[in-house]
Amino acid sequence: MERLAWVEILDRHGDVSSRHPVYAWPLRIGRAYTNDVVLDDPYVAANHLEINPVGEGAYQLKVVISVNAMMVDTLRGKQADATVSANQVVRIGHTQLRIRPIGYAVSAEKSLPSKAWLRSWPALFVGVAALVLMYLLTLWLNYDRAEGYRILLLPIVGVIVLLLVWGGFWALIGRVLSGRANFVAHAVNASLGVALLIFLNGLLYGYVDFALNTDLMTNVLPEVAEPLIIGALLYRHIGLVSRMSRRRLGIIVVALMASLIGFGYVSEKWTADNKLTEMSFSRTIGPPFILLAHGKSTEAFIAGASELKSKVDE
Amino acid sequence: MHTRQVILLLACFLSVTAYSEPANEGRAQVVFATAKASVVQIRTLLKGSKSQNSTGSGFYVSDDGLLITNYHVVSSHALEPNIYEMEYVASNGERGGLTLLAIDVLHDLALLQRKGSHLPYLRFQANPLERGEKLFSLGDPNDLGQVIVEGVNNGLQEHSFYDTLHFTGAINPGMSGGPVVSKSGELVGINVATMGESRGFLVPAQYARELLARWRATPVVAAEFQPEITRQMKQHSSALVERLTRKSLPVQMDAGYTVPDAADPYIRCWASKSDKEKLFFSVRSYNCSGNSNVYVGQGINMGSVFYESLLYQSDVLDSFRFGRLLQKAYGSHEDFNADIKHFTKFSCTDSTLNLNGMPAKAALCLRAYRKYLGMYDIDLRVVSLREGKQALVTKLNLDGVAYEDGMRMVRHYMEALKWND
Repeated sequence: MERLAWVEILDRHGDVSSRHPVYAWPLRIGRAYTNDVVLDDPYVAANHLEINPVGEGAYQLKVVISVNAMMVDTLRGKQADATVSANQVVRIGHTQLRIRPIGYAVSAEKSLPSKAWLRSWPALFVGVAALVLMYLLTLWLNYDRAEGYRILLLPIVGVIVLLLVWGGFWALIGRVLSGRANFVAHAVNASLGVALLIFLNGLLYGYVDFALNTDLMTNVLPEVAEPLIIGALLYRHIGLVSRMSRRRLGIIVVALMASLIGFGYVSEKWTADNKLTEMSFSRTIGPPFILLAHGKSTEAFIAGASELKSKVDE
Repeated sequence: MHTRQVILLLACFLSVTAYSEPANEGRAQVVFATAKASVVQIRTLLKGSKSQNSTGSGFYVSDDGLLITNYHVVSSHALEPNIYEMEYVASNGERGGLTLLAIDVLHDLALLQRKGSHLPYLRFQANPLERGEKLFSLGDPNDLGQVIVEGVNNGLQEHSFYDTLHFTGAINPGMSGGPVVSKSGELVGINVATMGESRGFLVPAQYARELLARWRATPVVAAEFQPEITRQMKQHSSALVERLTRKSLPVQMDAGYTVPDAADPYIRCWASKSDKEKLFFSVRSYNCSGNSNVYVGQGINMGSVFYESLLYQSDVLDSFRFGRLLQKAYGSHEDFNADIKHFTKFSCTDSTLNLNGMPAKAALCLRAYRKYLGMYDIDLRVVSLREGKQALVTKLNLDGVAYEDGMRMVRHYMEALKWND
């Protein structure tokens, strides 16, 4: 017998969960064992659907006897008959299916990603090394009394444990949702992301501002860079645990970040009373040799204070 | 032996009685008996509830019911007359309402009035006070009833911005605003503060006399006292900065840096050094503060000045870690309980500077008083940015000063910061 087409049953994500060959038309689908494709869905009728080809890659679908009828692409309402193409999804009861002719043109073969480096152990090693290095640098900068270098050890162990717990948490979610843990990929993501945040916030911004005599880096840039980095981190984590399309994932992460920023803004308004005594100025003091900007005169500096007066007088 | 001891004891007793005051003048019983009718307890009450908010003492200075007390006794009424009212309680238990007529915040005095006539009052002493003279303080400590306390005048307090008498005698809370009289029962001062252990302080009576005279010259009651307080605080601010800036700021040299020193007798400076064994650095700290702050109300003291300098030295730390060490001192800010209803937020500017030829970084922060328009808290901090093993971090705090005065002091302070090879 010659194979004429395939009936593909899809799961809720749109992936094929089973595939049934078609050897003769009409094709009958339903719960009764007399059908060509037998479904165990209680919302499907005993003899639900009858299918005939009506041209190149097109099929005529007809509901035999059913309370629930069918839906095509879930867009239109219930239908008793319809003509569908090979890419349209038909829903009967809780079951989604589509019909593909034997000559259906499949997409070209994708080449394997050259090297999924960000999922590899060397990448994790680099990530952890970067994180520990950044953390050590900030600790070392504050190391101004002989307390023994072992005091540096405990925080580092703490950071690594935290990283393992964080990676493990995402791996667990991935395992539950998509069956793949991807622990290494999660840990690489988190370690590189946090190392970058420490580098920018703890080191780079302050010293650049100090050298150039500005406050843009410490006061303005983080407002943009931080949500971007945290957003990218989340995008990668969520992308690893779900099969969502990139577009949908992007929208979700942007919405999440927007609500986080919004929440931060509102909570800052609420806690404005507590910040009454806060003084906001660029605090980083670097070594004098990195200074690039020429210093102001005392008079110019004091003249700048009149702006402060008009600000607080408002 | 036994007989000799008895004779000796008898002799001691006789000598004590022989040298005690011969006349009635100067005896606490007599002074108390004459003065007590002129002294009252002054209470501020939560309006409508008749429950007391604070208590102090006061006394009549005229027979028609003019009373003197401390400003701080009645400040809650002066600032929030819709919430607090005042009453007096006389030594015979009689009580009644009071009106606030005038205030002198700088000397912590207030002039009040009750209805009445032919009241017993205290007269101002005309003769100058002598150091060591016996004095009597009256008042109602802790709401326990009127007392008299004997003490000694120890002259004007040193290091005080405004004249204050040092009274060696036990003044206690609640006696604030009560009179201090001489042996002849004449007014010489007003109880104002205590440091405990018989270290009491008095406002010299002349300031009460001046307040009374000013009132008699222009007897107009202000609808609200905030503008008057602001006016007086501006006057204080100007006097404060004038005394600090009339000559260049005295400095002492340390490791090539100038370190600001006491600019006026009312400023006192202290120094200390910290170089614990484990530290990779040593720090010498100098701090100076002036006894010039004025109590305005709950949580508000104005007109104070404080400056400190920290001289860091390290032979161990590299320039990045030395910078971080300086950053901790430069960036730190003593947090205190500031109420949003009194202050705005701080607004700051900062920059690297060429400070008298020395590379430095400075930050200047300002916040305004909401109810005292034109008054500010000013915070200046400077850190030297020279290559080397030493660096100076110095800070100047001015609380409750007018803007121009504050900036004059900031400029004056910055001009004093130098480095000499």
